[in-house]
Amino acid sequence: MQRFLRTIVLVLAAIALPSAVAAQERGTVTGQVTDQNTGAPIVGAQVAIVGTTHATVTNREGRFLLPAVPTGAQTLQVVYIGYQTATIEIQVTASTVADVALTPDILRLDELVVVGYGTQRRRNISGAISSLDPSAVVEDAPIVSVDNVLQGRVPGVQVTQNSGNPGSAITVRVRGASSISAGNQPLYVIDGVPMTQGNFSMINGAFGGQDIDALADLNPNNIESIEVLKDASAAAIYGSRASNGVVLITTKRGIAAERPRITVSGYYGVQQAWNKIDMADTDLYIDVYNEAYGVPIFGYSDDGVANDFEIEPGMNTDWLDQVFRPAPIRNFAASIAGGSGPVRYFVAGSSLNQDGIVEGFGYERLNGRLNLDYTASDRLTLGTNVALTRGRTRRSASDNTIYGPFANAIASPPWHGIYDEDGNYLSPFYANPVGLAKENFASERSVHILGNMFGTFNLFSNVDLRASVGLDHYNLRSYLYDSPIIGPAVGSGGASTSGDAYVTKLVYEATVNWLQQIGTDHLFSGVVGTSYEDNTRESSSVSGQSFPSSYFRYITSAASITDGDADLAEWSLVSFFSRLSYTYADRYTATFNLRADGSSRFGADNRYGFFPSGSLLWRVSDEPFLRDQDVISDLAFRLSYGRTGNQQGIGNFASRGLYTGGANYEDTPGLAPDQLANPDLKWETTDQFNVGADVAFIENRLGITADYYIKTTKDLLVSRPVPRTTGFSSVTSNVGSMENRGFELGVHAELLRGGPQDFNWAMDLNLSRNVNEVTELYNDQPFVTGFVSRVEEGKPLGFFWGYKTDGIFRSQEEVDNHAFQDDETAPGDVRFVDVNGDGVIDDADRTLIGTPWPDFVGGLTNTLSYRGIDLSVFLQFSSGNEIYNGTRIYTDAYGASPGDNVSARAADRWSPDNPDGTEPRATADDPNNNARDSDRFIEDGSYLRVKNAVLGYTFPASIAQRLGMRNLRVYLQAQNLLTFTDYSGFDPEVNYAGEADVTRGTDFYTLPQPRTITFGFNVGF
Amino acid sequence: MRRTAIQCIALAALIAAGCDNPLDIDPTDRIDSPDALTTPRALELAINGAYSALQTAALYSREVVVFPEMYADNLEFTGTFTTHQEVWQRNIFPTNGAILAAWADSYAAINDVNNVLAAIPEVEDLDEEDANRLRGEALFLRALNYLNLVRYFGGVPLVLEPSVGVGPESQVPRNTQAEVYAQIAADLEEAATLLPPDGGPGRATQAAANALLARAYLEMGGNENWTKAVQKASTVIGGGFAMVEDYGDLFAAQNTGGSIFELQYTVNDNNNLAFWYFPADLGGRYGFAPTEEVYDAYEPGDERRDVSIGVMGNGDLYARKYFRVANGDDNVIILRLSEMYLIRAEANAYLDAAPATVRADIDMVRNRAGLPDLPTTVDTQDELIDAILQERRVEFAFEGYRFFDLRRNGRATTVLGIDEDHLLFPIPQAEIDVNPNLEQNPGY
Repeated sequence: MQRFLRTIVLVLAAIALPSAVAAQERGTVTGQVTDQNTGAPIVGAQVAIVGTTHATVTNREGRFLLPAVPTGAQTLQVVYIGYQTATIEIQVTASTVADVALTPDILRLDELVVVGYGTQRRRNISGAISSLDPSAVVEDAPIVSVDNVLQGRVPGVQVTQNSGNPGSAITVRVRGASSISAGNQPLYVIDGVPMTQGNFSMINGAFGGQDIDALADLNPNNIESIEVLKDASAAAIYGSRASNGVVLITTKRGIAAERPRITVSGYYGVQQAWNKIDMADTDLYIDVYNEAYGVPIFGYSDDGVANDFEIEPGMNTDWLDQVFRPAPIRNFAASIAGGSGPVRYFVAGSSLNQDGIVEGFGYERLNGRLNLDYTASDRLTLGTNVALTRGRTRRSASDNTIYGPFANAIASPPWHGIYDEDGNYLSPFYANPVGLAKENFASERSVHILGNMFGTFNLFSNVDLRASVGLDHYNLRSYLYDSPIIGPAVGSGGASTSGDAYVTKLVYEATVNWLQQIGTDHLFSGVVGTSYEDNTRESSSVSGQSFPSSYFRYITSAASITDGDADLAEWSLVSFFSRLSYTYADRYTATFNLRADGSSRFGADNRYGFFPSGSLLWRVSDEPFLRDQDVISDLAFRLSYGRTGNQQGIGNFASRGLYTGGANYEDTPGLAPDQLANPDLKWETTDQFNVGADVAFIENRLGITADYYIKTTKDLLVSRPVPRTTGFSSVTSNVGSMENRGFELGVHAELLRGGPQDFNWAMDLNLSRNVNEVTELYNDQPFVTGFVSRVEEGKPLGFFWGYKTDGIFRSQEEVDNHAFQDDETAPGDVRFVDVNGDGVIDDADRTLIGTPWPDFVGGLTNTLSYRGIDLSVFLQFSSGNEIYNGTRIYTDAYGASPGDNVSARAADRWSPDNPDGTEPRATADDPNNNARDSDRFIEDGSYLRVKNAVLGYTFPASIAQRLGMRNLRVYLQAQNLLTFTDYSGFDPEVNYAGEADVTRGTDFYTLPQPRTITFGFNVGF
Repeated sequence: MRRTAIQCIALAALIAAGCDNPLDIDPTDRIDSPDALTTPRALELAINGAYSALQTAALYSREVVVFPEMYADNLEFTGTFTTHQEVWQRNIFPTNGAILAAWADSYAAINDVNNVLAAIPEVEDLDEEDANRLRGEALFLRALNYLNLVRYFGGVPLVLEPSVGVGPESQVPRNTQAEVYAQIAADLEEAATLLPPDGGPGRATQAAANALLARAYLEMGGNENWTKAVQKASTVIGGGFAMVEDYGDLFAAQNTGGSIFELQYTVNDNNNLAFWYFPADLGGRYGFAPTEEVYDAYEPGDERRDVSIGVMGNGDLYARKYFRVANGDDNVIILRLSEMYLIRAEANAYLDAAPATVRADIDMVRNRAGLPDLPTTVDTQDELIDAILQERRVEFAFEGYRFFDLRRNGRATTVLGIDEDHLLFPIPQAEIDVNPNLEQNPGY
């Protein structure tokens, strides 16, 4: 490899040298760049002589100096984000002055937008791309992860934080879910390197669906821009992994400036649970269970009755209060951007520390980044980006577990305390929640190295060659300890697991970019390239048990080693791609993309997939007939169609028939069939049609973007069930299809634009609607997964499937007159609907009882400023989705198991004394199975949330300068300040099984998100 | 090789040169099926895999042992899994995942041995003695799995060839119960001629094949089969096994002289039984607890009660034959000598043998437990069967016998109050979904 790199560098250098020879008349160009409205100097604007390599960046006074510019007629171009690009013709003499005033441009039509393997002017982009400047989002809010930045900010993107577990994975869906099991997270590309995503933990068992994600290691503070490629035209150049959209992330770079720009920021805050569900107190608990058992099993020790369980009077423990705690969060970040001569640099570091609102949870991150650019010659630019992250996630068992502190705090009965007289944890039924939180723990430490080296060589004035090598190395150390005192390892004298995963991705990439203007009206641009990506994952883990005492927690002290594992897995991807774009008269653009990907995951005959796309753009506002008016400032229509692929989520060798080792007996090795062959296995493909329009009115003060799309996914990669009589339960196959149709709308309005010293009010609204339908399954076979989630043709993915209820029986007569439920069904039991009318309530009566997919999601941001004061309020909402509140299977089964405390709803249970009760009767053996999967536990999951509110104050420049600062701002921020919902559980934003779409929208003892209040500052030097 | 590959690809735009394809990657932990069973050693490993396949939670590590006890009157549900609760309530839905797992795991084990059976004639250098033993073990294990299946579900599809694809041919219909039993008997009769006399109890032996035959013939019933059951049981009883003196040693010492086939567990196999039977204070999960009824079923002086059932300070009962909760390495005794006596007694009772003959076999088991002989007044067929059922209940408590014993003797409806339609478990709905040729059992 080194030999190859050396060759490339030598070749590039050889071509570069001769260009430095020719000599010409030279002159100097100086000037100042200012804001046209305010006259304020613009710092950091890019100034360049078009068609040459003469370029620089404005300094603190907005001034620039371009030395040694060839004399004569030249074109000066000034580019700065948020302003329209200025292009002026100048006559360069020995000393030329050119001052430029830039016009603010909220649509940023002339801004260069990062697209796959290159950049394009926004004006000419024909695909559906949403851009997000994250600085406004992350500088103020305690947003820990890059995927969270997208929440509620981008039309067509639905972000769900699955739980309140710090550092855990977040569900991001770009235009719905297009796959059943091949994965639906978008592809993240950081400075051109597809990032390692996903969960590589070696200790997954106890944490429900709340996986950790390698993506969490990316520090959102260092991001310059985020582009979300949504339609096929934009995304198809990423081919085989673009079905779920692509998130292109560009990190900040250095600037050429006299003095480096130093930024320091930090915040400190407290997170707290904002909601609690109402559980029974001791009195109610005793009533319910004694009623259920028909005899007084529980009673107070002073009531003069002998009970099986004598409860100390006054004992009434609120277990949720015992495990919840106020948890601090703090972040400190600093960065320096600068440059001199040929070198530009960006250096940043940050430290984040977040505790969980339940002991045992937390997330810490230390992050450093160095981005370097080196202009080696007029033609050759070299650069490197390196980010180092040290992460630590602390975890406790959660969700679907009987050993989780939070789960057990819901379940534990109120009539006992934490400790007995001897200081031992009291666990009459489930393990004591406080004990679990204090004694058992798990942590994952990661070291994440993300970097690339690249060189761009300007072969001809309009052709650039670029080569890069990218590395994403992720090392995760997992550690789990279960104490001998409490929890799952009591019987084994304590248990521990230590594991390591080394995940390495190497990406080699070479591209040729080309731009050709012919005449004044014909602009051609294109890119061709190839890349090779090699992924390896090496992992090992060891488990041991039986420790001398709870003091000893590492396996070196374990009496026996119970499990060990070491493994190497590898997969690779070879790709060729191209894009050709043609613009006529700056009004009509056509773009065509083609990518071919070969993956080692598929059989030899189906390795390569081809992913073409095409799009058209018509910028109507530049037509002559719209020029002489000033109402419509921009109007464009976009149309695209294309194909993308998906190969996530399947095994590396899913097409092969395999035997596995590890089927051991008597500690001698064994072999067993592991997988059926499917030599025909191939890519899952998504064809997407998109039509969209961009329109802006009145000097761009109101801008609207609207898109409609139809995504049709076919050859779904599904682990399809096969008759188990074969000895296998499933085979990975391309079966079935799915459709997502949707509409998305983005509105930006500058309601008041009064200049920096006046009242300003901007509003951003986005609204998305996506309708998902599974259109075909193998042999039309539906399947059920999770609790009540079902996948069936003609229905949305993972809709809720169960019994319908119709209140409760009030009398034996009602029981007798209804369809048969059970011999022992009695008044007070739930009446289930006989959907098929056969007179019997059985499996055949289950039906659609809800869907986890919302009708609409979106966000509304209002940003107001007046002089130094700014206020931003971000509302985020989801409407029309249901939640299966699975926790209620246990909390609302009144009397079923004394280990489970019941919901306070039990107070209104039916009984002969409370014949109008709305809740089912208390019963110990529940013959009617009142807690079965039914719409009793389906709830409206719609919500409106004040996700963020920020009140900030920027000190006047005079004060800041007196303190030696360029600027100074302080702010007060609240996250999850208010939530409006009818949902009776903790938090309507919930997925107990993490990001799995087939089991979406189920709550099962899932830790809720906290409310976070922070105070922070930003300082520039 | 990798380095060359990378260079080739990176330069692909420049050079159209041949090179190793970087997309050719092989797994490190698995091997392509056609290459798997090609040596004598590989066949030994595959047979290990077939024993290992019995060690899933749906089979001997939990549910095949628990369900026949809980569906009857020996265990009650004290856990959280609704799949278990349905079994306890005798109201199993066809969607029950544990029942599906039992079906799936049994057929996975059957596919293991079908592969071995098909590969034996193809492997070169396999000497005849090993070939016979391997075939015998494979047939024995296939019969054991089919016997578990037929007792759960009635007639099930007989799959006797390795599975290679999932075309329409995989949608097999059910065979009749008689056909399944006939296959079990045929496999075991052949296995008994192929297997060596020694090598037990961790592996199948001639005696194990005969013992399982005795159990199968008893289940099949009818004079002819009862006669064969008596013969096979007698063969085993006369085959050099001895009742271990202390009943507790069966479980404490393991692999005793009374054990005919005993599934071996090490710390690496994770037997869940102790964990699920033990209360939390003893480090278990207490998913299932002995009923008061079974506790009371032990006669005064029966040494087996305290071996089988523990009593916690708060009065909670727990099953404790499997007690290695720390390491999960309790063996599961699948066939043992006392069952042979009781099989012979039961078959003889139905064959109207002399009551004293029947009682003598029962007394073998009673005396070991410290109990006196049955009174001679127990002499009608009904009384003898009742005595046998009582003896089996306390001898094999929590080991996976009770429901089948009651059902086989026509007592399930009377003793348990189960209706006729629930004497078999439902065919898993998920299986019917993928194989429309399967017919559901009546009552589901």
